Amino acid sequence: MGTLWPHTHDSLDNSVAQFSDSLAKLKAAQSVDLAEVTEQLKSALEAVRNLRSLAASVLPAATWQSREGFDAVVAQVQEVFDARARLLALAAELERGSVVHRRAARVEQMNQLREQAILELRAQTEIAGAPPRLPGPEPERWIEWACGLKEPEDTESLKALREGFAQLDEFVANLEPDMWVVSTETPV
Amino acid sequence: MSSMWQPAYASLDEALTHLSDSVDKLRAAKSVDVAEVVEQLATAAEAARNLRSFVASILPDATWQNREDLDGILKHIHRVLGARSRLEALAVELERGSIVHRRAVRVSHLTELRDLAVQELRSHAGPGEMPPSLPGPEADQWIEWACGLKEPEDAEALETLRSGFAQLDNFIVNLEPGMWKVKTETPV
Repeated sequence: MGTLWPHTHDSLDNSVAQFSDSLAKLKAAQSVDLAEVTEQLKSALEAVRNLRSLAASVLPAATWQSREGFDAVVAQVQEVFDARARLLALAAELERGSVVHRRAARVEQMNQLREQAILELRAQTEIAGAPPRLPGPEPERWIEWACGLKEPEDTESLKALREGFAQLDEFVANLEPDMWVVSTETPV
Repeated sequence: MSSMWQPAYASLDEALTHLSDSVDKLRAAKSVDVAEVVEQLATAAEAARNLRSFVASILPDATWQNREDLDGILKHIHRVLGARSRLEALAVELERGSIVHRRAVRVSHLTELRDLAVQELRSHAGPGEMPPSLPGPEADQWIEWACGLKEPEDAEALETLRSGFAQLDNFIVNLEPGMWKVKTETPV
């Protein structure tokens, strides 16, 4: 979804620029191909529709009156996309690793908690608006970071984690750092 | 706990020895002090009552017809009391220690599991039949031993633990050795 956004945004800018060029020619009493200008206008309107639809799907309550207002909404939408991408990347990271423990029952229990955390992360990327703030570093270092959080020293991060991602918090609270193994792919 | 029945057992034997001596005297047509023999009889009956009461307190359904049966039952009781005493000692050991972990929620969860394990041990250590067999060493080394059990290497001990002590097993599955601290009392 995030990759579609800049493309549509550029498409609007390009078609508006082409349409503006045609208007400038008309202003200079130059001839223009009316069919071509009409096509440019249709393209611009199509890009506007796409952008409005995309903005509404991410931020349903967003309104704007000017280009500046629209740019601010674009920035907000981009932040939402970035936040969602981060959650999806963490979900992928959780899927990539595996739990090791001396007891099969504990491995099974932790795998269930891991699955619930993944479902939660993915569900948070599908709700309208910005997902809850996920504290901590990027996904590849996130689990190690989260396993190092202590009470009471890291109360603030832990509160944000618990409030926004209860399942992920439960997984991490139950996970000891040496129980988490990520397979590294070695090139042949 | 066997000291509970040994005095009654010894007292019965002693009273019976005196009675036997009296019987020998009578058989040899010698006089005996009737009051003294009656006293020996009363002592023997009292010791027999005490033994029956003790056996009933441990094995309410036990019945026997002769001295060999009684000795067999007392041996069995000795084993039951030994097993119960071992469970009680482990319950005390579990109560003596505490959980340390970076996350309060995990401490709380493990403490709950520990309390359930203590209740389970005490329930098996209470009146009733022979408690299930608890694998492993004595109480002060038991937790360290149990935390070292691995699947599949220790499948047999784990199966015995799981089938006899589900709550204790659940506690151990969730416990990492570094999370268990036992207060050591240092003399002043």
